[in-house]
Amino acid sequence: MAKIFIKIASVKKQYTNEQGTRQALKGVSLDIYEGEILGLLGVNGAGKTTLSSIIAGIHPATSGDILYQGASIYNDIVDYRRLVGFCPQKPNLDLTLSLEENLFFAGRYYGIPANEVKERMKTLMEQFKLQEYAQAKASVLSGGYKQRFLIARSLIHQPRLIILDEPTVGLDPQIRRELWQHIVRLKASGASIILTTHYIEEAEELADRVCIIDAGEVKVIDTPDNLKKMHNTDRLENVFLALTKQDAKVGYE
Amino acid sequence: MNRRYESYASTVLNLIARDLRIFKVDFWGKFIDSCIMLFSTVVIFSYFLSSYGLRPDFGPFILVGVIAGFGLFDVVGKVASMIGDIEGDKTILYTISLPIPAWLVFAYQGLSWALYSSLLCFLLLPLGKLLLFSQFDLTVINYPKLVLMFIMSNLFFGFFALWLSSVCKRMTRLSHLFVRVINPMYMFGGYLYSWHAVYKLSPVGGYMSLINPLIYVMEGMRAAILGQEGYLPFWFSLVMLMIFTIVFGLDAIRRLKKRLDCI
Repeated sequence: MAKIFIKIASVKKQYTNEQGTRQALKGVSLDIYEGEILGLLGVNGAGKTTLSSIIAGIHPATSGDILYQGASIYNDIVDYRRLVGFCPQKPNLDLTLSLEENLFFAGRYYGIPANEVKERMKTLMEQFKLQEYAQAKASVLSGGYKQRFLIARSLIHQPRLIILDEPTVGLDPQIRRELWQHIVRLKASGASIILTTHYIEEAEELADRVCIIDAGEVKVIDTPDNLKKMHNTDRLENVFLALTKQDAKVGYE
Repeated sequence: MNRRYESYASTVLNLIARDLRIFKVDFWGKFIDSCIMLFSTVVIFSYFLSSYGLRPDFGPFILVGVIAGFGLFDVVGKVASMIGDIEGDKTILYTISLPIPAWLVFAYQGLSWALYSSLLCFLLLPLGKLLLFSQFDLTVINYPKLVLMFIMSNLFFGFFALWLSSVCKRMTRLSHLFVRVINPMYMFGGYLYSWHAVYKLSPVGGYMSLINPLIYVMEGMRAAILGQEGYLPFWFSLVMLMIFTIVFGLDAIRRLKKRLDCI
């Protein structure tokens, strides 16, 4: 059995606005193992992005805790953030800067010496096939390249936990396949990966374990094969449909 | 603990370096805007309006007013960019995900904005000299005081912009900002008159105008550039400005942390 890397214990998230109070997460508990890809699967508004941004240390949980090596991440959230590479759903690049500049500063924010940042930049640019756009401004990139670059940027400080929030949403099938290959390579490097998606085939293809979230609750966590066996089906989609309500929910994401 | 602070400082310095890189891209456009603003104001007040009986020394007086108040006009653009980002791409969340505390992300933003307006504002003084020639005597400037007031006033504008970003809820409300906040603050902030002029007219009015932080920017800058006589004591203005900067800065950080729901 792999070692637990992050333990999420009864995490609740409540949002209050003029319309009232709503619970986006209703006591989520799960473990993330070292070196695994955990697929967070759910319909729009299920709470996937809320959960991943809480795990990334961006937003606080209303209650509950996240433990890293047995201690709450909130004891030293700044140090914890060094472990995490967060790739958000919406590109948040500096559009007036070139890709090289974006990557260079991203590395320097983590205190990596300039020479080392340049070496890592070169490797990442090659790995993600972005060399020809190195001098181009981030604003000129297409959606697929932006997404690819966002993943590259989240890796510059060599994080041990990589959170990819719907990295392939809206991309054409070819680019999706390419990104899948990158994600598999990341796993091979030993990092733990949380992959948020609402594409069932993506979770089935990439995830070691799948966590199905619905209306802020974890419905099930297991390997895709075990889930299919448990529900006596050969398609993960059937498991997903059986466990999630079909009505659209008010979006929290 | 020292290594931790060193690491925070390194991240903040790199964030500022990034902002300066972005600033470089539209520097000339901004500089031309500032020159047009300075030129039109100084020429009209120093040369055209003298035929209406305006004192000849009003030129340097208004020049310092324009330089001192430049940061206030620049505030609107900064607030718009911040609110636009919060309502749109939320690139600020990337900065929040970096290994620095959230309060430092907002404090850095205020500092970066202060630096931005300082760089532009700094170039206006020699341009003012060119426009006013002998009317503007550079030998009476107290340079150490000018540097202090220059830094403090731009810090104030940086954190004031941050505070306005924290209280202005939506982009659609931005149009009110100029009419309801910036313009009254400017007009009643001693841009066209000194504090003593109001006090002579009405002591109550004089005391009331002390709640406007811009009065300290104007009075402090004029005391440093034109000489202390006729203005509020320089050190009093500096300390008051420091207090306003701290109050606006702390409240902005508290509000933005709540609004962006960060740790």
